Amino acid sequence: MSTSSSSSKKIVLKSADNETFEIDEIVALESQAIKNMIEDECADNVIPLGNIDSKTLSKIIEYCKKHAESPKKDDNADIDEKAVEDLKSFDAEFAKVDMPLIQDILMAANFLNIDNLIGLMCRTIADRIKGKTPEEIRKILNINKNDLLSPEQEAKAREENSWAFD
Amino acid sequence: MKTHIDFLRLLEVDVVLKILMCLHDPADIIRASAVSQYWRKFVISNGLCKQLCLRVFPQITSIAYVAEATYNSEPASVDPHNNTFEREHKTYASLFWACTSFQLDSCLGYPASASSTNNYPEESIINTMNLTQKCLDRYWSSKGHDDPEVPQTLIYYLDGTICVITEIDITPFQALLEVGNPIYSARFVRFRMGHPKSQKDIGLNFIKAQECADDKFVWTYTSETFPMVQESRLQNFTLPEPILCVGGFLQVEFLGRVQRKLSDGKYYICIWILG
Repeated sequence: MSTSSSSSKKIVLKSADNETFEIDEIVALESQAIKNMIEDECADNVIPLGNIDSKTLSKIIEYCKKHAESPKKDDNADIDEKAVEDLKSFDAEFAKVDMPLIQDILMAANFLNIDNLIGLMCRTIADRIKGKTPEEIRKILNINKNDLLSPEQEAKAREENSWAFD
Repeated sequence: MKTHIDFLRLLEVDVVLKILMCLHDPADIIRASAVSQYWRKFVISNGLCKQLCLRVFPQITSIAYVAEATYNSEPASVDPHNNTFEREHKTYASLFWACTSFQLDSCLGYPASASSTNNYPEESIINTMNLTQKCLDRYWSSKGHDDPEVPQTLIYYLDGTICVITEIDITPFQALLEVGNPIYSARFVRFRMGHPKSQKDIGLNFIKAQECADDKFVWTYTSETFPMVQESRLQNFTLPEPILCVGGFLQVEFLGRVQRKLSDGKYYICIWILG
């Protein structure tokens, strides 16, 4: 590997459960936070991510790899439609995971500052609560019940906006 | 595993906003506001109902302040800032519902002004209303002009100062009594909606005065230009999205004339029915 150029420089990420992931620097640069660390030269060979578990981190790396490989929209105007479609269907498949993992990915993506992934997870969560009742939303997002609206507030909300609850 | 912690509380405000801004149905926003106290406060204090309403109906940005007409029984010690958000939340939720659940019906009120009229009152804009069928001698005709590019406008009151307009129907006039039965349509048509600049102009009778009243209005919406065909049938112009008209006036603008009158060689635009 003596011929490896600077473009295939490797970065090692370490998850909360001490698993290490070696990835190309170009993949790591999808994260604005890691990019800043590298640019400020405060990144050692190994970047510890103490609040991201290995399951979440491997999903995020999967996402970053795919997006790093794909041609960027603003690179040139006439990138082929197929690449765009391909990325879209990848995103759709990527989001087909259970809600706890989506929540973990969103929080990790927010920490790592991966803008596209934040957007994808937000849309996914919104899609899952669309058309659902408050009770269903609580169940989907596993929200505890000690912060509920008072019976009076609930009755008032239903009365004022009965059209939204029918 | 983060059981029994409200996930939204773990996120930064702008990330939660990103999630809730992906909800495009006001009913989803309202239901989200009933999930928990935290969600309710979040939806109300960030004015999500208002924001969604403004995204769908940008014409209502002219609403600067929401006043509550009913007697407010809450104690005066309530934080007035918070109260404003509550009030806006309620109002925009109702407004949104009212705007999206209306009955499909004609909301054209009555004529307000024509930019020109060839023979008043025989060929007045008043003839374009309340007709269920074409009638040989009841139509509006512009004055004739040598230049086919001179536009013409008709202005109508809408039924109510807040209307949602989805489509407009126009039937160009065919002069069955003239040689060749010419049809006096226009090349293009464009629609504007808005409100009067000054309330004192409302009482004026622009039709009788045969005055062009275009400059008396503020047009808050201008549609794209629709091509019109030279056929004397009901032509339907559907707006790309429902438009909320605040102010209650519709302007129909005819661009480009296609038909000269044989007798004087001038271009005219004549309209039978507008609905």
